[in-house]
Amino acid sequence: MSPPFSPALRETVMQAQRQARGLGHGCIGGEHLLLALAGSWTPAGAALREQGVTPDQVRAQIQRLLPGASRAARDAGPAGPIDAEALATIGIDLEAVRARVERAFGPGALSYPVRCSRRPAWRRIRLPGHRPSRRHRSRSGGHLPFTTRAKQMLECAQREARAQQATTAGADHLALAVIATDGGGMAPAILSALGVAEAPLRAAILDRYRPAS
Amino acid sequence: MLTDMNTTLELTEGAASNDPDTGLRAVAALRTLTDRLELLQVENARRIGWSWQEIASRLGVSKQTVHRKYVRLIGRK
Repeated sequence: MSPPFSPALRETVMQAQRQARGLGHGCIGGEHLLLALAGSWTPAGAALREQGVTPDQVRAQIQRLLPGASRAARDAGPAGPIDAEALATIGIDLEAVRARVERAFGPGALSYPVRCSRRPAWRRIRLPGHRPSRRHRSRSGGHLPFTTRAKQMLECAQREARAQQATTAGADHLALAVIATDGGGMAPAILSALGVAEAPLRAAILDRYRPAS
Repeated sequence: MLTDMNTTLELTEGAASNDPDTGLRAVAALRTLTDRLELLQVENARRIGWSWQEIASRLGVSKQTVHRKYVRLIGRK
């Protein structure tokens, strides 16, 4: 039995979705969860900011690592980015293709994450009020899917909660999952770019939630 | 100087074509690119009212194939 997600966690996920959409990204990834947590009014958010992980810093790192919305979705799907170097070896200039496609279909058209945005399995994590229906799949108003890694982070948050014998998986458990360096992906890259190590951050988060005794 | 660079480039590319790692990665990248272009084009064609049959004939596949692959992604309309 997995503990259910707390209202604070659900709100964080919704905020992550807003952030992803604001950045023009097609999926909710670990970096958006981190961004949402850093800006949240939860104790985990306070712990993150205290350690220097502020929303502004996180956002700057995301934009540094994924410059421009048109490239944003490259790392989003399991299919991964389009390997420009590999294409160059057979004489295909990805940037030239991208430029032409974007001229016809608009910015980010080629980066549209084919396998990422539509795979039903990725939608299996159901947050109340976060159930995508077929008619809500437009990029403007619908729900964005999670990346595989973000999905794993939510599952990891549940494991953290269970390990702590908590009745719900909260924002703190999610924060512990997001900062974990073993998952790979952008969140650890952002944290290391900010010069923040996992261990002190984890300690700071746990400290905020330790019941007063 | 420029000639030197060109020679180096040719050598690298010559070596690359025999290297399965490079070759296979190129194929995979090309496939990803093709997939994205295909979705983009099919989506656009549907939006402006093309039938599945018309799309399928251009792609050189059966109507069923293209329908099965894209109907859930794009929707009926």
